[in-house]
Amino acid sequence: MNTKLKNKNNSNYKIKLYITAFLIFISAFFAGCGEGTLDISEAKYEPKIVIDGYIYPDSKIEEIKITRNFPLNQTVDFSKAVIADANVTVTDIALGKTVTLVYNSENFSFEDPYFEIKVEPGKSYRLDVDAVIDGKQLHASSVTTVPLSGLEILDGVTALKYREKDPEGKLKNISVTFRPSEKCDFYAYVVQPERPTNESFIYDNAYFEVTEKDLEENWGRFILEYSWLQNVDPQTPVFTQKIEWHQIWFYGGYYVTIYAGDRNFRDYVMSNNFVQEPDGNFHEPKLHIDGDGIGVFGSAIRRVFRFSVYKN
Amino acid sequence: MKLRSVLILLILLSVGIFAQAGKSGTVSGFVFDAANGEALIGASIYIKGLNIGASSNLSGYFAIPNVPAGKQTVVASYMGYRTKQTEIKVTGNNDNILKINLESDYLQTKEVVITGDSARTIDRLFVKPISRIELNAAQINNIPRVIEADLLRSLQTLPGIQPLSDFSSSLYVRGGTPDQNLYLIDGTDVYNPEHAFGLFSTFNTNAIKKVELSKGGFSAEYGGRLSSILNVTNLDGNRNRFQGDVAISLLSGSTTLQAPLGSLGSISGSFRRTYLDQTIAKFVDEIPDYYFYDGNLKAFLDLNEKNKLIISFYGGKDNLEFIFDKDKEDSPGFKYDWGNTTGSINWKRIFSQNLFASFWVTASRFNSNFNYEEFDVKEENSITDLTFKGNLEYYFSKKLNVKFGFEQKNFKSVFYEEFPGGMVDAGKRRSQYTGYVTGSWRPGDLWDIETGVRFDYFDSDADYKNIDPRFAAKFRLSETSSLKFSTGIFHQYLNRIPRMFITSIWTSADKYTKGSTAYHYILGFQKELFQIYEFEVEAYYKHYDNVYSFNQNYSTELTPDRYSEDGTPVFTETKSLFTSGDGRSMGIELLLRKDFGAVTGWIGYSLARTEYRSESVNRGKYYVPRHDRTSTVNVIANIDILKFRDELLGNPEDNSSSKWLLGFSFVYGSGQPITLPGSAYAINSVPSYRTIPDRLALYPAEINTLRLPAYIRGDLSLTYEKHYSGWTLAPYLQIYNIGNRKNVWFIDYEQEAEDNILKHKIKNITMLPLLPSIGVNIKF
Repeated sequence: MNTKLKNKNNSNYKIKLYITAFLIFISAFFAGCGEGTLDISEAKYEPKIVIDGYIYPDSKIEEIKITRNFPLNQTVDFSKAVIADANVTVTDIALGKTVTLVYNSENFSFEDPYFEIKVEPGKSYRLDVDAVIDGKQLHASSVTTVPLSGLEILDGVTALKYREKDPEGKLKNISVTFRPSEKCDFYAYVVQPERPTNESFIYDNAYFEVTEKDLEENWGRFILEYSWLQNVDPQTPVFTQKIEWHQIWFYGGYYVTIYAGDRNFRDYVMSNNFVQEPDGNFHEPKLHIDGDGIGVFGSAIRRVFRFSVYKN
Repeated sequence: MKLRSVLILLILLSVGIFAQAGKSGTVSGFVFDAANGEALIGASIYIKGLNIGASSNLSGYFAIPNVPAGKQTVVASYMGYRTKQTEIKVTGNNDNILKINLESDYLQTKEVVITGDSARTIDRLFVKPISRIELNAAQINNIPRVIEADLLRSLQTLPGIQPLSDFSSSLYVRGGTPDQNLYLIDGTDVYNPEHAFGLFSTFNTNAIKKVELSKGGFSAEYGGRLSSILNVTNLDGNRNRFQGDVAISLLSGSTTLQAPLGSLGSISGSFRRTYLDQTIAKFVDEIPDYYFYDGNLKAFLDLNEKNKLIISFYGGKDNLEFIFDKDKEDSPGFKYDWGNTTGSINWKRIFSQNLFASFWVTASRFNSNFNYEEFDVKEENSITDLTFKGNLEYYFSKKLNVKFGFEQKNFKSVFYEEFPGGMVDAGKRRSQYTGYVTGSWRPGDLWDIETGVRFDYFDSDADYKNIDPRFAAKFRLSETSSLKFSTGIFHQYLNRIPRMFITSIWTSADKYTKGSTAYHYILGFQKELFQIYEFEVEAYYKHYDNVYSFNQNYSTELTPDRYSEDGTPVFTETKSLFTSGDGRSMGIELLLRKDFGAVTGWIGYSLARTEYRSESVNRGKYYVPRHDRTSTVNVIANIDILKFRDELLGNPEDNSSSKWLLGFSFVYGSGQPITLPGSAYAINSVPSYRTIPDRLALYPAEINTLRLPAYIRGDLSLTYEKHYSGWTLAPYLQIYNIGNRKNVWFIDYEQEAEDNILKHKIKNITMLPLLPSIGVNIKF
């Protein structure tokens, strides 16, 4: 405990020590300049069959798109992404009946041209796809159970001025009242203007400034709005859903397609577009496709509702 | 049965306590800072000529039992203070409680002189429990900062403590997540200690007296969290004179005032408020109306020699009002506010010289409110914690100290949310009952062994009972080095649902979510170098059971617990919110630290690895979480330039009334893991929208298998401190990220579509650029 440290005779040693430390610091600061770069090509690519298909009761099976995925940072020409020579079949599981779908180059989709499979509410159908991508034989399959019938549009507020208010100053809303499908708790609704133009765009909207250039560059962002209702009480006899004003970007007529969707439809819509977390990390969407496939094979009951929005 | 055994042990100890008698006496007392009367925590006290001593506890109290009767010299020392010797007469019935006032020394003098009576570096290191880091307000304020001095950001510069990004002050301690840290302010738990969406923490550094962070292996006195304990003690208040601090930065203004209350004690208070809403936001439409404030008040009351009462209060609030287009009267917007309120009453009682007790009643509440009227979205999120606790320390003999105590916590959480088509109403009430006992045994001069056990009973809709044994041992290897080991089991019954930029939601263990468990194994080596440098190496291994991560696809798995009368689904339970699994963290940390002299600071290095495993993630295989970072180097240096010059040139002591302080901070961190998309594919978001999809969806590659580029940043600060008669002025310049390095946070994929052609524009989203700031501190 009786130790003493005197530092008066070691100045030279200290000077050397501190010069060394200073040089290390300078080096460190230089290292602190510049830019980090991340080579995204390091992310491992695996070829997948992409399924984008839905079936509806009383409609011919005709909207089954089979494409492939691509490594990142490539320009994707959709016409080249289509796997026209894929072997695509649909099986009515209850009947054990399987039909091979035929490729229709007009709409890039596979279809059941002779209506051999009749899609019915409450029944299950399996889609099987075999295709070769990058020389690799792949197989994907998915089963959808069509929701029960019952979805009907009953009523709605079909015309309003943009952000119209009631006499008390409260915002009014376009709304649609519908009867839900039996035992179905998921409803997606897609809002689309019938004839959107530059002239009918609501530049003086309440949310943010949009110039003509912005509109041109982001056209796709304004002409389709969709949302969904999940966990709807199957016992509810009638349901009313508001169309929010932030889903309205044009004056004029609109049509809303309401889908009573199955589990595949539901999970795809709710997760596919939300794979990037707020901190930038990605996670897998919830898809119901077995094997080497991604995408959706879903089913729904669908109905259409129309409304109009006028200038003030 | 186990609870009964613990109670019997406590009773037996109590019987032993009061059965003490003998010819020797106990020397006890408090150690204070002579300048302001603040109790000094961790001061070293020993009896000269005898190899017995103690260190002061969180209240500054110490007791040395079995001191032979007769004249003795008590030596008290503390880092940065002059060692003091006090002559006393010890009798068998000695009831004299000493008050030892130490005068500040090292930080003000030029020469570094270690005298025979000083607390040696290795002794201070030996007394400190394993994995414990201690900082005071000056050390926190000296570290270059992002505009505001911030406690949690300061801690991020130490080995084993990681930030996730520049935008977050959250702590990831040895692979643990921020919800696994217990934040205590004057003994009160604090939940979500965040201002400004996590950019800053709620602790006002000017009000802090001392910070102790235990990175693991903590004693049975502490529990309820898996990873770490951050114990913040605020200033009691200057007992000798009125004292004030005013700090003005580009972001905020703050003041801390302290005053004596005559012979009764002292009082201290601080207040801070940001003022961007009153300045820049008035002129720049893009900046929303946002501000935060916080304040605390603390009274230290000397009721008499043996009874002290400390009343402490903290309150803070963030307020945001966002309007989409401020120029439009009709434009919608939302309001969001959140904040903490805590309060505690702490009664310290010296029952006998050998028995020191602390009893608390603490209350803590975090709440947030969100209202987006036009979209029919409303949210209330709160957690309230009312705790009764007591801690008794019995100085049994010079070889044995015993601590025992209890804690009874009452939680009330509210999470109420209304949104179109649904409602969450997940309010819960929970209770926790805890008892603990620890014994610190010194079988000889070389050994210090601490064993303890903690019993928890968590009362939920599924009850949890756990017994957590703890063990720690210290061994003096040589005159200048020591070896430490610690192990223990740790339980946690609260989980947090993290939400980026908005406040997290706390949930508790229940029938869907079990309590989490961690097992710590830590081995440490400490060495005094050149008498003034502290060198520490620690290796650790942690294993976790039932750790929970937020389920990113939770919305697809939610099922309502009931329906309201109008058919709205109502969610009340935590099922589907988390993925559960196990995990492990391991690493080695090196720290070289110097706390006094012209140059102070530390160099830290951490080599670490954390892995989680969950059945529903990565096909049940181990994966590294986003906060894993293999290597981290931190260098912090604070230089008193004039003193440094004099030291180098061997000049005589300069009594100048001014000084220049230069601060450096450098961090190198190897890249964090990230999951990036492995491929892109064209697909419609909704059915039948377009014949040719106009959207490129992204499909992720294997989870967190890529690494971001290394994180490198250098910060600089320059402070000019001028002392006038009775007051000090200290303007400063801070430069954050002086190299303006563009550290990558993540990658954004912006889609471009033309005819049938789709492509992604890939953009690196980087973290904070070069940020200069100025401010001034005034002390009087």
